[in-house]
This record gives sequence, structure tokens and C-alpha cells, in this order.
Amino acid sequence: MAQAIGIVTTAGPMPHDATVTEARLVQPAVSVGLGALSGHLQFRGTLDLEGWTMPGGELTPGAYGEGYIDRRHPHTYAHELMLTAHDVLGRLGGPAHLSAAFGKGFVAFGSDDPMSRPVALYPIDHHLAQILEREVAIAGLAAGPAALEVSWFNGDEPEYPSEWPNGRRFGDSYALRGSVAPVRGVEAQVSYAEVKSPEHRDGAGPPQEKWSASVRVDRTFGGRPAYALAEYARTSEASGAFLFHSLVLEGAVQAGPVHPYLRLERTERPEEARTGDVFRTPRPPLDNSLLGITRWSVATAGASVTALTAGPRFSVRPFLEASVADVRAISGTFDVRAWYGSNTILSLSLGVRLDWGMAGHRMGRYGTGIAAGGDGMEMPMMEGP
Amino acid sequence: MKGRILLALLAAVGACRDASAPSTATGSVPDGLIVVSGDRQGLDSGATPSPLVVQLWNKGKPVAGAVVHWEVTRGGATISDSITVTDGSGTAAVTVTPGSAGFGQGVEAGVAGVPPVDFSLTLRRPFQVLGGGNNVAERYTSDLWLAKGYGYTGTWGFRSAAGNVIKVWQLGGGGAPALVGADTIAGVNTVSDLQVSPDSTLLVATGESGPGAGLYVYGLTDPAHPALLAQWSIASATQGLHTGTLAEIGGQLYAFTARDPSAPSLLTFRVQPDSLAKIVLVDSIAMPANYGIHDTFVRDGLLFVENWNSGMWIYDVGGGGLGGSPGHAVFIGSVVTQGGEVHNAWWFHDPVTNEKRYVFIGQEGPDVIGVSSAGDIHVVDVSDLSAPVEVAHFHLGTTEGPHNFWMDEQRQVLYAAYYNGGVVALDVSGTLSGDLGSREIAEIQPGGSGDTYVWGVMLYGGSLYATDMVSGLWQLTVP
Repeated sequence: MAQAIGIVTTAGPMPHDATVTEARLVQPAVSVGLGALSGHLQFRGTLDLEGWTMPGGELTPGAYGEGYIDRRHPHTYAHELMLTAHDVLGRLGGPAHLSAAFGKGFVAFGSDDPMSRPVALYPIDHHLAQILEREVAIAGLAAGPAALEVSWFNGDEPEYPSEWPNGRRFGDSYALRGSVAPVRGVEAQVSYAEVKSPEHRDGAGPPQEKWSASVRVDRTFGGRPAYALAEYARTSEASGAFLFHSLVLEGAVQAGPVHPYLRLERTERPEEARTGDVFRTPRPPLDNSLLGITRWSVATAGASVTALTAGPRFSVRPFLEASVADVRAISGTFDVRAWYGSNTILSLSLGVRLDWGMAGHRMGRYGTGIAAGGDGMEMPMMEGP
Repeated sequence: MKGRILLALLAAVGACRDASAPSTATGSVPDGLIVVSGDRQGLDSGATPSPLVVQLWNKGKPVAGAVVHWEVTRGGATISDSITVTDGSGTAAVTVTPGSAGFGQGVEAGVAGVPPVDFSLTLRRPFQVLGGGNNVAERYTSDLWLAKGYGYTGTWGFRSAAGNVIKVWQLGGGGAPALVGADTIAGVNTVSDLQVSPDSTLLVATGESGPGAGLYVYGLTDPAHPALLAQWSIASATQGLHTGTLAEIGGQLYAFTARDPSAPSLLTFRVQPDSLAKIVLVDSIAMPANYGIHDTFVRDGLLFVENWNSGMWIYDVGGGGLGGSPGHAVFIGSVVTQGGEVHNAWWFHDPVTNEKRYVFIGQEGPDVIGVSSAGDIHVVDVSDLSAPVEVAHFHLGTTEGPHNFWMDEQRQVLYAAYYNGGVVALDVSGTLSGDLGSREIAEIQPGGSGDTYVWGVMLYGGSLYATDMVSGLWQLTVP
């Protein structure tokens, strides 16, 4: 599988009342899945080239994480290298299925990675609702429509695309996720994680306590494939000194070759002092200070069109996407209008998604974390007509 | 007269009866003399202290008829009696009238053959605002230093303008600060630390967050217009020097600086503006990335490095007797105080007792600028520099934490900048142990609630000056 998105985004006002326009190749990824032992052993490897195509991040108003702000950070080159043993117990387990996964990849926490969701620009809550690019061991138990996963992983986030997880810290953090798929195409999950010092590689930073809950629907209504996600996430940092909440509602429908989508989001973001680059914050942080917390209320609407297909797997899908954000300070001295020039920030993106078998692939689930309802790892709504 | 003789005879009999040292306690109260009440009193002006009460125990039982000697140890207080006798419940008491020789009042009570006990009382007197304040609206204010009738303040981060400026203040006749100038440092977003050299000829500043990050040396021939003499660039857009401390050692001026992560290290420079090489890096010592070195304190050839979660590290840089020098610091000892987050320190030289026993450490917990902060002041006994030990702490509140310190050592007062808690003055006279909550002399939020976030304090010209991140430079009375 492979994909890439060529995108031109214009956004403003950005810091110091500037309008910024840039073109990037984002989410260029090649993903390989290999199986053995009749599928009981699977390998998933995903190479992500964003460190090469967008080393300075992707212009995304409101986004933050890993030292980037108002830009989405580039993913690590080794985005996933996961070995999964499925149904380890076999017949011994009866109706229950036990899986084990190990490698570098997503922690079993929260909702699907936005790379596999309809909206091109990532939501602001990416670091509240997902934990990724860690050295992780996951044990999962599924019985019928329900599944429980537990993950052990290193707490530290990557600082740059070629960096590997701090192996000395493996296991200093853990996560739990319970999922249930009561009927086909409907799935709910609740997750909890304790992440030690995510923003300081050597462990000197404050810990995070994270919650996530979501309901996801991926079904056909009236002959039209449709998708919807409702997600809540909460992160408490430094033993409650800082609290961040997020609520995301997103949906998409397939109407012939056209795929319109909508995302509504309200997310609270930490405001840190920036470096000489207005889109960067110090990593590791110099101390535990915040300038404040802002709340971003964002509406994003867009549509993609399947313009070209070749064979069963290749598609070219241009898209147009626009967002409007209302930004308010809810704590601290950070002055939104002084920094941006306005409380309202707009963005417009025009791009084309090139896909070879990756559209609809739900990223970040291994073993029993794959939808218990039987839809597997695919998001049919995202695939071409 | 006869009554006093009788009392003395009874006391003598009591003393003979209890001449031997107490045996191991068999009850819940240990044998010996204990404080019942009256210790750790904070006294507002005009308040009457509670009596000082002790009780003597032996073999699990209170001892009646024992002679208790009372002595004023500091502060010039007066006590109602210097000798009392324990009553039927083993209790003895005196009343105390505070003196005027210091904020800390100390009284010791002793019985022959058992360890004495101490009473500590602190007089509370207020701060007042004298001048300044609300005078830097466009930037967050950082550190300060005052010399030659002028004040120099740094700036931090971005408020509505970048924190790339050193502001120059002239102190008026009464000491009130008036802004007279500003020097811009190109390529930085924070002027994180400032200090004037001991001979008042140089102003040294550290810069962060930008390609211009590094060390800057200004001449103060005209103190109103600092003239840039030299700079040393760290050549990194994301790192910088977080703090710098000046010290004269062996006739040379040195700057001990804290390099930011991701390669935290102590960088020691020799500053010699009259030479061709004006700033010379003489030593570089890597520090644990936990998170890294935050600040330094230098005195008498000893260097105290504040190393966040790795604690406080002590080096000989010329005064520790281990052959150390600024170019070759020799490690002596370290301590990790409760909670880590070791941010700053002050080594107290007490001119009243001639002791150099205590180092005060500030802990900087998580904070939201202008709103909240966290952390405590920790007291470390460095009688043995190779094995420092924490002995006391001060806690202001759950949402207030300390930042930088200054001391009036003669009056045995620690002034602590306390972010949204304002400025706090602590009596640090006598022996320090346990919770120092009763040692608070005064507290003030110069800008008022919601407009106070004090970064640093400095005593100068009889006033206490405070830099507040959100409300600028203030002049305060001292209590």
C-alpha cells in the first residue's frame, strides 16, 4: 500500500498577523503487510517520508505537538514496524482470541490515526486522542464483539523524524483500551493511559494521564457508504496542573465519485513560549511553564472527487477543504489577538490524494485491536467507488 | 525573700532527685524536655505572644519540681522569668515580650542533664509599594540587577513584542525607577538573566531562543547607556544560555552559565573585555539531561549548580580546598531535595552567628504565566559539603511557587520572588528545621491579585526591587 497527498494550504492570520501559503507533499507513506503461519503471524511496516518532504511540518492552524505549533509535526521515517501474533491460543482459547504485538507503532489508545480519516488536515486533538511512534508491546483479548487491549511503551515522543524511541524507557508508560462492536459497522472504545514525561526524552518532564472515548460508525445508509466519528479526549498533565479537553465530531458520505466530509472540533491547546521560529516551541521544554491555554473551535468542510482509478487499488482524488477557527484564551496571559491579530483563523487547502490500496486502511490497530465487529482494518467508505 | 529561698531549696531537691539522665521512655512521650506550646508563633504588630510552655518527662511520667532555665537566644526579647520550676503536671511556662533586634525571636529552655528545647517566634511586618509598577506593558519582564543608581531588567518570550530587550531604569531621589532607555539584542526572544560585575563596570546578560542566543557583555562607563563590548554566540536557533552568574576568582572575572538542552552543560567563561579575546570559554561540563542545568550560585570559590531533578551539585572552583578552579571544577557533593525541580539557590552567610550552614533552594513546579505556580523553598544543611542534607522547607500555597531569591543577610531575612504569590520575606535566623511556615514575615502581591507574577527581587539602596513578568519593575519598602 502507498499514498501521498500533494497539498497547497493558505492560512491566516498566522503569528504576527501573517497570511501563509505553502505547498507540500504530505503523508507520503509506503506500507507493507506480510503474513505467515496461516495469518497467525503478521508484520506491518510503514515507511513515512515526511521527514524528507516536510521537515518543517505541515501548515495546520491550531495543530501542536513534538515542538511544533500551528504546524503538524513530521512523522518518523519508521512509522510502523509491528509484529503481531494473532489468536495465540488457537482452539485452546475457545471463543476468546488472544493476540500479542510488539515493535514500533501505535499504542492501543484512542481513535484511529487521522492519516486514515477523510479530512486532510489533522485535527488539533491528535496528541490528546492518539499515542504513536513508540516502542510498544500490546496484549489483546477479544471475545465476541468485545476486546480489551493493554499496552506497555516508552513515554517519550520523537523529537525528529530519524529518532528512535528511548529504549531505556520502555515500559515506563501503559495504556488500556476496551472496544465493543455491538453490530456490524458500529464500534465504541474507551481508553486510559499514563504516559511518563512525553515531552522530555530523558524522563525529566511531567507525566500525563489521558482518557479517550469514541463511537465510530462505518455503514451504508440508503445505498451510500457513510462514516461518522464522535470522540472525546482529556489529558491531565503535571498531576492536574494543566488540563486539556477535546471533542471532535466528523462525518463523511460517498455520493458517487464525490466524497463530502465535515469535521467539528473543540480542543484546548497549551500555549508555550516559542523559539526564534514562531512555529516551534523548545524541545525539551526548559521548565514547566505555560503562557496559557487556548480553546479552538473549528469547523472544517471539504470534498474529494475520485478523478481517476487504475485497477482495483489505485486512485487519484483531488480535494478542496476549508476551515474556520474561533480561538479564545481560557487561562493564562496569552493574548490571542496580540499574537495572531484576530480571534478568527481561516484556512483553505487544495490538493490531490494519490492512493494505492491504502485508502480506508485504518492505521494503528494490531491483533485484537482490529474491529471486533468483523470489518477488519478497512474503512469501506474511504475507498473509491 | 523567704519564699524565694524556699523555692530555690525545692528546686535544688528536685534537681537532685532528677540529676540522672532520663531512661528510655516507656510511655508514648519520650523522656526529656518537650515543647507543649508557644513555638513557631507569627506575631503581627501589637499582638501578644502566647506563653512558652515546656513539660519534663522521665520514665513515662511527668516530673514535678524540676528547675527550668530560660534564655533569650536572639531577637532581643524579654521573658518573665529566667528560672521556673515544673508544677505537678511537669509543666513550666514563661511569657515573652518581643524585642526589636530582629524579626526572629528565640528562647531556649533547658533542664540540667537533658537536651534543651528552642522556641521560635517571628514578627510579621508588612511590605509596602513605594514606586514603579505597571511600567512594561508590551513585554514580559524577566530578571533584574541594580547598580550605580540604575536598574537593568530583562524581557521574556513574546507578549505583544519579542523579549529581546534590556530595559534601563534610572532610580530617582527616592529610588523610584523611571525608564530611560532600552538596548535590543538581535536574534533572541528572551533576555533570561542579568548581572552587573562586582566592580560595577560591566553588565553581563544571557540570551535565548534565537540565532543570537549566547552571552553579552556591556560596559557601564555610562550606566544609562550600556555599550556592547563583546558577545559569545551559542550558534543554535533552539538553544541558548538560561542563566549566568558572575564571580571574581583569583583576580579574574568569570561567568558561570547554564546551557539549555538538548546538550545541557555548565559553560564557564573568563570575561576580560580589555583583552583581545574578551570572552574565553574555559570549561564545559555536561550535566544530566534531567532536564538539565538551570542556574548557578557562586561564592567564596564554591559553585552551586541547580540541576533540576538531579538536585543541587556543589563544586570547588577555587575555594573548596580540593584544587578546583574555574577552568577545572572539582565535584564535592550533591543533594536532591524533595520533589526535585531544583531551580535556584542562595548560600547564606550569617554574620550574626558566623555560620555558613544553610543553602536555600527554590523548587519551580508547573506554572501558568500570570495565573498559578507551584513549588516550595527547601533548606539544605551544607555543614558537610560532601554530604548536604535537607532539613527544612517552606510552603506558601498549592498554587504559588517560588522563583528567584535575594537575602538581607545582616537581618537574617530571605526575600523570595513567588510568581503569582508576589514577594515573600522569611525569617531565617537561628536553627532551621521542619516546616518554616511560621517564619513568614511579610507577603505582598505588588500588582494585586491577577496582575502579579514576580520573577526576581533585589535589595538596593534600602528598598526591595521586584520584577514582575506582567506588571514590570516595582520598588517596595522592606519590612
